[in-house]
Amino acid sequence: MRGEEAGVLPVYVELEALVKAVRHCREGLPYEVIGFLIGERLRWRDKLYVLITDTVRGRSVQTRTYVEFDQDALAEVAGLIREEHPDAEIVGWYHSHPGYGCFMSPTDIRSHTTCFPYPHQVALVIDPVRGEASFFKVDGEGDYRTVPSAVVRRTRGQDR
Amino acid sequence: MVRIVEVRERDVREAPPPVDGEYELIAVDWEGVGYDLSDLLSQLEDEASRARTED
Repeated sequence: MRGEEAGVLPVYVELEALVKAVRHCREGLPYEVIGFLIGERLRWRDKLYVLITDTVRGRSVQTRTYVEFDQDALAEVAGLIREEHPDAEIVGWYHSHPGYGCFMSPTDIRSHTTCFPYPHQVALVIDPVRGEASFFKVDGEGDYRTVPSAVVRRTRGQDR
Repeated sequence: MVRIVEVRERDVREAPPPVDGEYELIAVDWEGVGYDLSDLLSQLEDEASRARTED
């Protein structure tokens, strides 16, 4: 596993979860969309990592260049996640940057710091126009950095 | 802004990284440069096409 030397937990994302988020971002064009990353923190040989197993679409207030969670929908989404993913937790969020690349804007950083304060929670930014995606985290100083990650797929025939 | 409080304190489960066995590694971004989604998606489309042909 990489990344822990810098205090950043590596992220593994199941391909199906990533594709689900990308499809949401494509369907939302030309607007930005937003959603939650669902998964688990896991430990192996005293090292922590994050596994993302699903995504949940979030209702949002959006324009072509701006998106934020619809605050009235947050409790609803939290309940849905509790019902459908009782063994998982929200390990971050995703949103799209249609056509202007993957980075964290000042608004994104503010949203992340406010809504996702735990060190293992990450932001996935997807540009469905350029076909790019990157994971980020925000530190206590309000700076952001990329997160080492890998895309994995469950072997066929293996049920969870 | 509402803080999401759905992160529940729980014991962290022990499990090996999902890179073999039950999982296969599809792509890595250890350096944080990001993913080219067109590669990933075209790979998926190829597999779906092959599966349709086999059916």
